[in-house]
Amino acid sequence: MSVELYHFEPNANGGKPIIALKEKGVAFTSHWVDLLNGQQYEPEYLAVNPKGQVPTLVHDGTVIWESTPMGEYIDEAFEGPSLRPEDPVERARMRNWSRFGDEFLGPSLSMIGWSSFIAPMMKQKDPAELEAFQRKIPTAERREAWRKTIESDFSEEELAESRRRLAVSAERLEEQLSRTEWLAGSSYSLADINLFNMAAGLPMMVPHVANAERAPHLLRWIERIRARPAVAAAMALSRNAFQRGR
Amino acid sequence: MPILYHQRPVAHSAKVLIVLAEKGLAFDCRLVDPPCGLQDPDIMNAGHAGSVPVLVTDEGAVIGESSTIAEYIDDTHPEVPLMPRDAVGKWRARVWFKFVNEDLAPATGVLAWNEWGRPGRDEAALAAIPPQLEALPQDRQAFWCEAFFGFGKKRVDHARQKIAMVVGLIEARLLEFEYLAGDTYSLADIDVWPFASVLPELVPDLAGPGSAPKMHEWIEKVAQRPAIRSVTAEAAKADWLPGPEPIRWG
Repeated sequence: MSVELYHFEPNANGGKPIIALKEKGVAFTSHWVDLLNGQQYEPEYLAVNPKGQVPTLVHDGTVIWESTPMGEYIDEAFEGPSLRPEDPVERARMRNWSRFGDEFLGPSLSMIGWSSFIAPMMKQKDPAELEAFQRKIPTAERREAWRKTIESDFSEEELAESRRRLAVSAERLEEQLSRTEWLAGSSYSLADINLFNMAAGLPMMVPHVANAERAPHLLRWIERIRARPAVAAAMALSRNAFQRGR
Repeated sequence: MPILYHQRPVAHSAKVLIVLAEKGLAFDCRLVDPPCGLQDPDIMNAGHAGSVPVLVTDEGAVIGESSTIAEYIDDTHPEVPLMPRDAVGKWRARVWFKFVNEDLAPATGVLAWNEWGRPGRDEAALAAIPPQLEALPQDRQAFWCEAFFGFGKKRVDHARQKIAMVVGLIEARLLEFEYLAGDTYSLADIDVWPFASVLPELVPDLAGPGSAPKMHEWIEKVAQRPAIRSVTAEAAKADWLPGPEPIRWG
């Protein structure tokens, strides 16, 4: 059996399949794709995933992308502890929390992250190098996203709306976790794996809501997940010392 | 009996109604008036304010989001299975759910509202929208305010770009397989069809039979299914609403 995973840092979307594979105890070959230097747009990688997105899982030649559906694939295709609740209502809740991460929390978090971390990093680069990078991008949509980042073209209104959504996300997570131990209900599931990396950034990004007083269940849930051996093993794949040491 | 709140047999509501018809299930289907007819406190509290379809199970559990409801119904009523049997087929179906939620549905919603939904409403129906908006979450309010005046060029251009992308994916998949998740009809087809089936008329330059022949064949083939025919017999173009709100970034 051959299992290969192409990924960047084990945070956000890249972290989801890494944690899931570690939880299932599946051995895999890790291929680091350097997103900030455009490795995802090199011909070698586009041959694996023509969309130039990470993560990508290659399981005995079958190519699987999109990290959220990939999680359910990993749970279905491999032996190991189940990462989805048996109860159909809890399973539905797992899917809707994952969607919430993909459609509401994730995009807001990533807008703040791109504007405050990636945009300054791109500014350090040589303009000719940046131009070559932008020319390689295969889709109009990604070209626009990178243009916006490279030019730091984020308005104060859209950043404020993202911060508002992060605060709403922290409140919703706290509300769920004050009623159930895990996001889907009584068992640890892909919902927890999918939301963990995003939620872990909330105490820093929206400290007025994601703090010990207003969101005690959320903070304890983050620590419980961080303490899991599979999550620690996933974080050890980071090339960022801060992330590894957390 | 489970209760399904829906908004007539178009878009996301159509999917769930088709699933029920394919399985021969009789749920208590209740029509909700847009944009935020769901004033039941339990449903508002479940985080689905003003967003339909919503399913309330016999035990009182509230489940939102059409593709999640469809999979829940398939999980709990497996007699007529509508998910592919193999893990790769299931993955393909779930990737389609994502493309529909994040790309195809918001894009089709923008264009169909401008072309059919808004012109199909009289002054009184349009005037009834603003007073209802306060019940909606802030982000959905802003989107509806835009819809009230009709979406502008930037939104329309972006929607057309998204539709061109998804039509390309549908066409490519149907060159490989008979249906969207493989060789059997599945929830993937049910998820995509309510949107794809209006594209040839809505954007003929992007989705007409000349530019997307395989998709056209598939639209016609799926349209012949008794479940689809019975559900969509009552669909009207004026039932199209704006939404869901497009993903903002990422």
